[in-house]
Amino acid sequence: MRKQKKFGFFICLILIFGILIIFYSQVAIAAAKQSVTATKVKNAPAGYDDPAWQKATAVNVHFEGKEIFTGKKTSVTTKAVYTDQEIYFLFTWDDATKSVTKGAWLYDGQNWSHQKGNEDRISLLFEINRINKFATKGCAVVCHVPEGSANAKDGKFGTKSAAEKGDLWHWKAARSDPAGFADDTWVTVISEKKGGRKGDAGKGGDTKNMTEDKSMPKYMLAPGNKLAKNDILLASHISEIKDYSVFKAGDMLTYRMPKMPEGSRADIKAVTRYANGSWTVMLYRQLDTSHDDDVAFNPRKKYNFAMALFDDSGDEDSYDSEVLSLQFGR
Amino acid sequence: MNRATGISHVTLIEYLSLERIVKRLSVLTVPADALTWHRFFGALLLSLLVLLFLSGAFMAFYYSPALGSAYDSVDYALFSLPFGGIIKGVHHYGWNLFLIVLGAHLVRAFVVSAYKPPRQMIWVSGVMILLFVPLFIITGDLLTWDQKGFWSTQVRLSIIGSIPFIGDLLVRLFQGGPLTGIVALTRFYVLHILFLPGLLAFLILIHFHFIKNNGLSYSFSSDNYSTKTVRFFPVIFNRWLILFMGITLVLGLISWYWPAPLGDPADPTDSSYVPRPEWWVLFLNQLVTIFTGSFSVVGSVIIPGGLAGLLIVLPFIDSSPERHPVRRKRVMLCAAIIAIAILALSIMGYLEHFSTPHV
Amino acid sequence: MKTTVLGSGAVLLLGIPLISYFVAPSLKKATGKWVDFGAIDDLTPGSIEMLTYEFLVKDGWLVLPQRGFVWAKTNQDRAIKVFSSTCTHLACNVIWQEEANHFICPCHSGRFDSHGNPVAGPPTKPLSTLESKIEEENLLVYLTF
Repeated sequence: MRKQKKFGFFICLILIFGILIIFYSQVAIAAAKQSVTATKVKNAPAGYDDPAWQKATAVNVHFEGKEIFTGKKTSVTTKAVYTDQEIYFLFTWDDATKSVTKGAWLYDGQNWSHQKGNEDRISLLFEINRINKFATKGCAVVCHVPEGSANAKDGKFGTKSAAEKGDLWHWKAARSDPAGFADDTWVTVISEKKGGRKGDAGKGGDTKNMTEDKSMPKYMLAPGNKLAKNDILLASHISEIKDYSVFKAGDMLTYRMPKMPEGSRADIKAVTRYANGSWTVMLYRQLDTSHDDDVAFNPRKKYNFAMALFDDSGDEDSYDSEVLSLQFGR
Repeated sequence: MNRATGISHVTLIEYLSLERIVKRLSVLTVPADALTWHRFFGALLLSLLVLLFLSGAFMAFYYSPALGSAYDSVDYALFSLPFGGIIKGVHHYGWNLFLIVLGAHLVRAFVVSAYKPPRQMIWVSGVMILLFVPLFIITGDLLTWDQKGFWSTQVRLSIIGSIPFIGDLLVRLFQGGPLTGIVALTRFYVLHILFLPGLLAFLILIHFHFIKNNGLSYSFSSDNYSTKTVRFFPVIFNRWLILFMGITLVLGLISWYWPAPLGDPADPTDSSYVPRPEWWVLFLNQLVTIFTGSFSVVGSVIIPGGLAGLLIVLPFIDSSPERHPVRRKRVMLCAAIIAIAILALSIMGYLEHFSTPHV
Repeated sequence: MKTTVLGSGAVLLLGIPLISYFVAPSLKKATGKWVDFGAIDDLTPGSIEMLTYEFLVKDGWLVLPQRGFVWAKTNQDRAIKVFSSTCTHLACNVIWQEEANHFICPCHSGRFDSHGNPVAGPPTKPLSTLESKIEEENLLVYLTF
């Protein structure tokens, strides 16, 4: 009998070993695309320098240039951590120039004109409701409509049916960052006339600072207020310009003034820095905002997402990532 | 006697006309030897089947077999329902474990010569069950409509399609046409949840029928031990219940800790996805890769078919009365060679498909 | 005795997860939302008109369109009352017939007058009125689904 028991024990060991192999083989299968794993942390990171970030695994996400950046490549170091309540992303990428101009007004002593220069941006796209083939084709199924179609300018972004919804996180160095947010928007069906991009419920985005004939700025900093980060004028800190004679040649004024977002549009907060030729952007949000224009994160689930990076550029002039996988560690 | 209802236990059983079954169960005895550990593979298989049936039946509440919704319904059941991950996990790990235990059951029956007369038909019906089980996996894997399921199905169907003369027809029969689309998915679904379980229950019934009439295999233990008997009900039955609860807990915990995998939604236009064979089919897969060109039939049909045939007719080839493994050197040697070959092929397959870094 | 204990253990072990799995979605109550039926100027005073709606609802695992209609009764003073189209008898759709000046349910010939009160046939309860409001000159109706 003792011999038999030993044998039984041996068989049990083999069974356990077998189960482990099965488990391992499934792990191996899952490793097909670049995957960002959010590490569970007890205390939310207070900023981009927080020691909590040392626990997160850095993933060097590859980006490929489109349109004017065709043929170029770049990469963004991506980290993620999460608490019981919130998810935090940390992006770091090299950028020789800090671009926050976005057509700011310049006074030459006689006339106002828009300065040359756009802004740096990074955007993330998640699925709210399944977007057909997003998991395998990524942005290719949402970002690009055929050249020359009626909505090519305005509607480069959108899905094929109203049931498919994406959650677009859009951090803009000039138009959202000074307010301390990334613009929380969503993407739905693209129509003949309009693109599929919509702002989340609530208020946000930016307003244009210009007179009705569009020839000069309409607003300046209201007394008692301060310019925000990168000397940008927030839409909440303005007063109408009564006397244009106070401006001297060389004076600059913000053209696209960030609004303080409210409601569901204010879900994604940003803490950022530009130093030594690189951007560090920390974005964070509730795991589940319970808004139907946001993806709800369930830490037991895997999510597909894609990113785009804009270097002093607008429209389609971007660096795009392949589709990525977001997982939650324990 | 139940005071509240005034109906006694016995009369309720009589009322339901169950007295004969109850009586037969209560007097049924089996050799005490039936309590040894290696006799519980069968009971374990039965427990796993019950679990597979229950988890599958409940998962069917949240499944719609249509291309646009199959994957999302599985995703919903996994993540939006209480115990969703555990129920799917029990089904997933359950069938993996079922295959392993089925193998152990077969090996035990072989080693202790349980196939020797008069129990040939117990063995044959058992082998039929073994050969039948992969159909469940082939049909079930497609149902989640994820990349892995879809592309593994493509590989399996192409292997079936390589069978000379009838391969193409078989594939079309399976799929209900040339496409792996909505007709195929619905067919696989109905096969998986209705026809195959029905057939399996029938095969198991046959297996039990032969066990009932030909008895359990003899024990090698000393004679006085094997002549002792125990009551099936409640002694053996209680052991089964304990075993059942144990395996339920183990599978539940495994599923809770390692949720059942769900890949990306199937994309038939995606050429970059390379499906990897599952562990139980690695050796067959490796056979297919060894024989290429006009010899591919050898790997995909002749050798697997030959092995299956050999298993079925084993009791008729080796019908000598010698039962102890030590005194059946020739048969044991043959079996060992086949087992080692299968193991070696599996390891080769494993190294080829799993240890090479993926992009 | 031992069998009873073990048996109930097994039943509990299976029953708790399986039953919660089965029951969970049933616990979700119907939710409502304000649906925009367009400009109130499009409604003719002194008439009862059919207004159709279609919106997307997440039904379990799929986002599907919900379609249907309601009856809007506009008085001469432009006060609007919205009736559900569901017959209070057995939930068929009632149809407004101008000539008869009645809502008629085709299933069992139930009839309601222009105030929604049952006047003939099997229905005993009046047609339910739906909560409505006017926002920026548009008619909004609160629909539950």
